[in-house]
Amino acid sequence: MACKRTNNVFSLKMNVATFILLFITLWPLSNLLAQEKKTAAITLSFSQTDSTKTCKATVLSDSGRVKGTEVHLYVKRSFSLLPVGKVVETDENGEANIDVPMDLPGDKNGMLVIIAKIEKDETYGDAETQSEVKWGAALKNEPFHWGDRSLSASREKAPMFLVVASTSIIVIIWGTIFYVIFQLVRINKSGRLFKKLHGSRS
Amino acid sequence: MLQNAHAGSEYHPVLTEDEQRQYRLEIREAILRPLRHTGLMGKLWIGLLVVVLLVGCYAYSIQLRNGLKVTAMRDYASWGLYISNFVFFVAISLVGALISSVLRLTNFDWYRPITRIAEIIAVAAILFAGIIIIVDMGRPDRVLNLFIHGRIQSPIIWDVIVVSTYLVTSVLFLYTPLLPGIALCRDKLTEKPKWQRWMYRVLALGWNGNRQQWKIMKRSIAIICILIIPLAISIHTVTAWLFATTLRPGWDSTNFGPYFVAGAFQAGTACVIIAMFVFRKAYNLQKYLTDVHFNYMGKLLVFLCLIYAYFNLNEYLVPAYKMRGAEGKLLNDLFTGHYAPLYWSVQIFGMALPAVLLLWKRARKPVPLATIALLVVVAAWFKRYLIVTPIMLHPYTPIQNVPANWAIYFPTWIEIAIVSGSLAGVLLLITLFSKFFPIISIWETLENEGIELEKLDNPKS
Repeated sequence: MACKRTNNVFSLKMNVATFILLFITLWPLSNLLAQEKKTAAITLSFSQTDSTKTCKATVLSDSGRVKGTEVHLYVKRSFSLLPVGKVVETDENGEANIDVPMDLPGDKNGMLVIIAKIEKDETYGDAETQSEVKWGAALKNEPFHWGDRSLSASREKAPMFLVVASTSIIVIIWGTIFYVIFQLVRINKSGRLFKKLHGSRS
Repeated sequence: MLQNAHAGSEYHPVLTEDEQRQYRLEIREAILRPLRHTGLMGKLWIGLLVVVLLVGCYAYSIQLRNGLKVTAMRDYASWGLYISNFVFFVAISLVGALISSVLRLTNFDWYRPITRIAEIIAVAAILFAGIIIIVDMGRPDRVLNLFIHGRIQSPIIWDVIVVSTYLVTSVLFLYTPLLPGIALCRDKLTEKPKWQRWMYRVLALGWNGNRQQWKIMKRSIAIICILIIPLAISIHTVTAWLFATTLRPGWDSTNFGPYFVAGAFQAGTACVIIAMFVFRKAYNLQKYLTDVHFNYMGKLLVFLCLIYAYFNLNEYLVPAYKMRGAEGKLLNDLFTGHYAPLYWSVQIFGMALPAVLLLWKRARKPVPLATIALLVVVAAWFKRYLIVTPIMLHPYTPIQNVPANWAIYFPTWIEIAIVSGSLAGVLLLITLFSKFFPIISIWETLENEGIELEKLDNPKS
């Protein structure tokens, strides 16, 4: 029994030693492999005809133009990035031409922030660039009229037609109700008068 | 002698003045009899209603103390049993306008002995509709704010205005033709306690049946008759708009106003039939609530069932043809899903079957007709539940990231007790009314027999 337990302890120690040895050997190796990923840079240029707006993304690395890398195009919006056009692979010149919709709203000057990205590429990992272009429809800030009458406004700012219509209906209906109540008062008066003139009758 | 055998016809036999007076005495005695004495069954019935009402009040006290969390209503099903019950009460309250006003203005005669039953049902129902809405409020102490700070743009304010207006008008519509009846109680029920005699004296408004009083009363009734029709249609149309102006599948319909009004007339008519049957049996009024009245009310119910069926067809068939998005899911749930047994029971027993069965004259006899009417009323209540609850649980945006029990709704005992209490309250009010005031309008019934009390009381003028 004692011999068996000694063997187990020895085996455990061997396993731990092997793990440490492997870790020490492989960790620098993995770093070495990671460093193998190349970096890429994207440049953007824009061209426009009457019916199309095209964004050209050129991908360059240390070794020259990059072919066959997928380029994603986005437009910056208030809270997130809006994907535009199709995901296009770069050609032999390292260029990817992506059409941009004609009717994107821009800022107050009509500027759009266009972002080109390479995402999780096997060779180049992630790369990104952004550029501004005056392709957007200028945003018109319509002034919000807090003082206007509307269905969604406050009680005091109800639409005039609604105020007039509802008030008229209420006055007509309640006027009639009060008229009927007044008639009941007249019935009471008539009863008293009749009693005074003729005495009670059952 | 007369027994309303000619109810609804133009023929009235010419009676001598003595015969008229004799008949008046006869009807007075028959109608005042239930006011003089309450039997054991009557006392047990009132006791039962009081107990149910008190249980409802106790449940409401718990809700007041702990808030609406004691109900099953949560973020999605924020309208449940209370609102279903509110819509039901508003629906049956319309019958006062239908029976007393529409039939009166269209020169029918046979309706006269049942006007008061219809009017008291209307008053009791609309009163408890208002109460149940306050029950549904998280902060009932703020109810006055609805009137003080309400926005006229909100359909909820339209509903508040129209419910209170209809309540006042219905009370006037009940009270004005009741004046000769109250005066009769004042003069004949002299054995009653002092407070009751005082009540009759005050409420009778010094009625002694002089010509001027008759003239003013009849003109006032004619005015209310005209006023109450648009009001009755408004009250249920506005209630329908509470739903239709909310963007939800199943409610987003331009059909909702007339659909609700048609359903209301149908449910209200069935309620009147049941009340007629019970009063006829309990108070021995077979002579005044005759088979002829049941026959006509049965025919009216068939007509209203068919109209309601037409609106149901529009309401369900058109969206079912498209079956789009959330609406499709809702309809699937109603037609074949979780709510299917209830949905089909309501449509078959509450509408289709009564419309078919009542085509036979034999089914329009008091007992079968009252049984069918009971089916219609029960189905009408559940119909309102189906209009409210499944739709709340089928919003356009999916139910997600909430506790699982928020996606279902089944009322708690508190809700069931309060709603039962309100139903008992309506029945209690009707019962107590019939114990204090004539449940059949004597002067209108006499006019139906060709006897004008106005002339009988004022022979010289």
